Amino acid sequence: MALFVEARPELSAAALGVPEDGAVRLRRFEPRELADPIVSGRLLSRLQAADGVVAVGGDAAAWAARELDGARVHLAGGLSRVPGATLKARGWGGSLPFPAGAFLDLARAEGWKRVGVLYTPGYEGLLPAVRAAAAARGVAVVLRAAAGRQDIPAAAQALAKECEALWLLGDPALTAGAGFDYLLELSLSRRLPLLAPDAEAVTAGAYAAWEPDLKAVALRAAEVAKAAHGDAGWPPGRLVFDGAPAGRLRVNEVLKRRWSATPGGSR
Amino acid sequence: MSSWARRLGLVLAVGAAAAPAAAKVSFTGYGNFLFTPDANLRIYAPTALLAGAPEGTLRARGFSVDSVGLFAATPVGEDADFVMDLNYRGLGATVRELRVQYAYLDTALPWAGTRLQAGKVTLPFGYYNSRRFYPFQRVELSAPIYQSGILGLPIADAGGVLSYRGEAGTLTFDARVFGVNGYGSVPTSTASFRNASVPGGLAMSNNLGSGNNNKDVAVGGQVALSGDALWETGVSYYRGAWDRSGERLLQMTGTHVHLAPGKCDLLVEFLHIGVSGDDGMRAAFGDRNWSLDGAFATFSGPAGTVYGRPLTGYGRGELYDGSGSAGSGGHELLRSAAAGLSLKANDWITWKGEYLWLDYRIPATNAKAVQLIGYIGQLGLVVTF
Repeated sequence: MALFVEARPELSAAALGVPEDGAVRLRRFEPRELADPIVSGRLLSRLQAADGVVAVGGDAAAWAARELDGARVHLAGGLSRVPGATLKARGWGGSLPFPAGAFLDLARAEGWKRVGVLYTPGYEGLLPAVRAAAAARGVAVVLRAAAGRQDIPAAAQALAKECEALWLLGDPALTAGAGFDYLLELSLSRRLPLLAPDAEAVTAGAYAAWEPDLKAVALRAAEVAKAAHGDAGWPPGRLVFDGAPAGRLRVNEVLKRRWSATPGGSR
Repeated sequence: MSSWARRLGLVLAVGAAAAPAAAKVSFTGYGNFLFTPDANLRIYAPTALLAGAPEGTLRARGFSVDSVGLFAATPVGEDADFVMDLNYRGLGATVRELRVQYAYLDTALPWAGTRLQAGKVTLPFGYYNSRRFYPFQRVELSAPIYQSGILGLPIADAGGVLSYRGEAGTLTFDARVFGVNGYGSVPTSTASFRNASVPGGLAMSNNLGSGNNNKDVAVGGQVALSGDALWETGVSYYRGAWDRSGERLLQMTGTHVHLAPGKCDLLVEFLHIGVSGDDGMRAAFGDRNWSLDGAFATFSGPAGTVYGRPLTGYGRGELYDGSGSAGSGGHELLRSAAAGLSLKANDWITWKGEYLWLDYRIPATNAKAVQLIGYIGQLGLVVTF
């Protein structure tokens, strides 16, 4: 098994409990070197030869999706960097580094009664957990699918009409590029809080996002890798929420203050 | 046999036997394409030294495929890879040059942090040689003139490199030692390491052959200290006899400092070369023993964006001065400056533009000096795959 993580001092073999001669081999990378064909080629040859690869974080997930066709991969975080269709086609599973109720706790604290959830193909398996978490918190969720980028405007407009916040539960179609630009514009023009999976979205103008603790995610990923022996113990090829949070919710304080100061608040 | 040698042999044997069941070869590569809108070079030298090259002003404009490289990597053990680079240069109706830039086994050793590379290896000398040689590894379009054109990058040779890496918090310590065949004499003479003829005689790169031309194994190494991908400093050394009898010495020392604060990058490399018994350079320096000292510095930083893509500006300067040890002859002088822009269109495509100025002179006693002066404007496209 291979554990594919960014080369940070806190993510050493010792820190992650992955001995150098163990069944799980640590494969570390520098994000800026992934575009180097020499480094990428050596990583590719190593990871393709592994029985399974647990990739930690967004850069690892994006690289794995681009290069590791034919390998068995589980993604620990970084799912918003990989198209859901790719996950489905390859039978890859993954875990989001936050529990289903993380954004719904914010909704309850902010007094939002209805939260729109915009999701993309491949994320349907998470919806029962979302519904259950919403019911437990007394928050209503309205679920809408965007099959492709072209469906985003209609789905987002429909949710904007009846909901007080918009949660993006999906892949790069929602979280990057023209799709995210549209959703951000909608959010800011209508004062509709945008809840995104990646902390960078807050810098761009989203209302809140999950900021993962990469070490906590990597520690859990190491346990997944250690528990997998060939086919036995390999996590199923579906998406799940992490049981316990690995990180924290980051709120756009500037936006929060500005919208709170405006009569009518965020909506 | 000592116990450590038995242990090493056992581990290497087990490691070799434990190769992955389905080892796959991965291929990646790159292409470097150039367009020269204008090159204006003045070449002056005694006719006898020109070796058929034209004297006077040389103007050039045109396209070229500078190089295309294929990298192959395959795991051959639990922590061992075989890697190689096939490099095609001067692509026209035929390929002018096909090189195996490197081809070696890279394997972990039983002692923590140690590795061995064996085969045709890139020497751990300086920073540029092993980490900026390829156009996709650097922002600049061209490499420093003295290192690439005369010293010859990459410095790669048959032999082995033993390395150790230690980490303590954010600090990383690297130590590497090597033993290789080493530089020999110029292909046309056993008594000359270089000679002041144009083209080709001044370059040292042609002195690295497929075998050892003497019984002396060239040795050297590098120690480097780095911190958190923000800075690195190191010292490198090479020592080897270059002539057939193994009595005439080439020594090189280098020092490098690399700083990478934020999105800026500064690299400075100092170089000292000392050669003994070089008949070929007696005509230039009036002395068979000569030395050269010099340095280059290259800086790059953000220069805005173009349609949302990052644009990087850079500048480079270099100065090298060589002379005979007796100090009585002339000086070999190389000065150059370059400035340019690099636009990363995406992770695989980079566009570059550069203006380079060059002034190179080397004396030839009893005749006029060899001079190469001029400028080159170039556009480049680097594609990785």
